[in-house]
Amino acid sequence: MAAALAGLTLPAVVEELLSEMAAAVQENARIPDEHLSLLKFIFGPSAIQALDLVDRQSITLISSPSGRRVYQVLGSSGKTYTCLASCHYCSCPAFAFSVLRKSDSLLEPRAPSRSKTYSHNSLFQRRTALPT
Amino acid sequence: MAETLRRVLNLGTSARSGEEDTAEAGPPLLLLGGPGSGKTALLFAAALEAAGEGRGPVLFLTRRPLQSLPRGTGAALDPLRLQKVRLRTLWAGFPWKDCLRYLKIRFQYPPSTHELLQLLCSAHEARGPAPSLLLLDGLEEYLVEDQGPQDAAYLAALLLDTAAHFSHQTGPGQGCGLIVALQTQEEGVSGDALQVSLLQRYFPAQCWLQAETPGPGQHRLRACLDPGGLGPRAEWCVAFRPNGEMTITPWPTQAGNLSLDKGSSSGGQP
Repeated sequence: MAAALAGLTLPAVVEELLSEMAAAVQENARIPDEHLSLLKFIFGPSAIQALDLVDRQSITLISSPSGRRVYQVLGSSGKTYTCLASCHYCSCPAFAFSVLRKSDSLLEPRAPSRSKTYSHNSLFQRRTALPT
Repeated sequence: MAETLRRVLNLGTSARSGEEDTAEAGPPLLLLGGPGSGKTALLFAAALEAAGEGRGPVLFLTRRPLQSLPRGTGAALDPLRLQKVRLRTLWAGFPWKDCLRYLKIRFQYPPSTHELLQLLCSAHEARGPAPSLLLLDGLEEYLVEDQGPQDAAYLAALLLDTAAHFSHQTGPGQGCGLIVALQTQEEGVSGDALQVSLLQRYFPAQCWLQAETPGPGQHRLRACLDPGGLGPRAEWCVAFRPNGEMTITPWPTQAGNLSLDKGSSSGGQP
C-alpha cells in the first residue's frame, strides 16, 4: 500500500485505506495494526472516537425508497446526530467545534488534508456498507 | 455549475467555446455580490440556459417572487404577467425560445429557513422528473435566522445533498447542478467574512460580482468566475442599461488582473 500512496491526494489515500479495511472485515479477518495506525495518523484522535462508535454499533443507515440516504449516529450521551452521506456534515457538537469553529481545522476547500471532516463520514459509510 | 455560468457569461460575447459539455453538472457554485449586483439576473439566465439543454426542469428557490423578469435580450414584462404566467400574455414581448425555456423553470418560495429546510429534506418525496439544476437566490436571507456556523453549514450541506440526490435520480452522465446566490456586505465586515469562508468550503466554484463605477447613469459589474480548479478563471464585464437589459462583454485582460484570494479576511473577494 505504501507504494500505491505515492503521488495521491489525501482523499484517495483514505478511500484506499478504508477499502482495504472493509475487505478485511468482510473476510472476517483482523484489521492489520498498520491500517489502524495509519487511520490514527491521518485523522488524529477523532479516528479512535469514530471507531468506538462503529464498535458500539451506534450508526444506523436510513434510506428512503427513492434512494436518498442519511446516517444517524447515537452519541455517548444518548442523543442522536445526523450525518449526511453525500457531503461533509454532522450535527454533533464535535463537528461544530473541531471542524467549523476551530481555526486550525478550518481547512481550505481543496487542501490535501481534510481529516476532521473525513473521519466523520468516511468511516461510517464503510462500516455500514458491510453485511452484518 | 461553473461551465453553465461560463456559457451564460459568454452568451453576450463571441468567446463561446467550441466544446460546450452540457452533460456534467460540475461542482456547486456560489455566486457572491453586493446588493444590486445582478446575482438574480445571472441566476435566471443560468436557469434559462439549463432549461434549454433539453434535460430536466430547473428548480428556482427564492424567498419572494421575482417582481420582474431579469432581462437579457427580451422586452419588459410587468409583475402581474410574471406571477400569473399565462401563455397568452407571456408570449407578448418575450423571445419565443425563452418562453419555452421559462416554462421549464419551477419557482418555489420558501418563506422561512424552516420551510426551506423542510423543502430540501423532503425533496426526495417530490413527484415528477428530477431537476437538472437547483438554484437558490438570497441565501443570506435564510442565514439571518440561524444561530451560528453549524446552521449555515447544515443549510449548505443540505443543498449539496439535495442536488446529489437529484443527480442520482437523473442517472450517470447527467446530474443536477447547484448554484446559490449570496449577498455579501461591505468589505471588512468580519461576521460576513467568516460566513463566506465557511460556505466556500462547501462550494468549490465561485463567481464574484464587483461593482465598477464607470460614470453617471451607468451600472457596470466585474464578474470573476473561479470554477474551483476544473478550468481557467475568467472575467467579464456585466452592464445594465437604464431599461434593465443586461449586456456581457469579456473583461479586458491585463497582467495581474486575476487575483481571487479566498483566504483573505474580506472573505475571499478578488
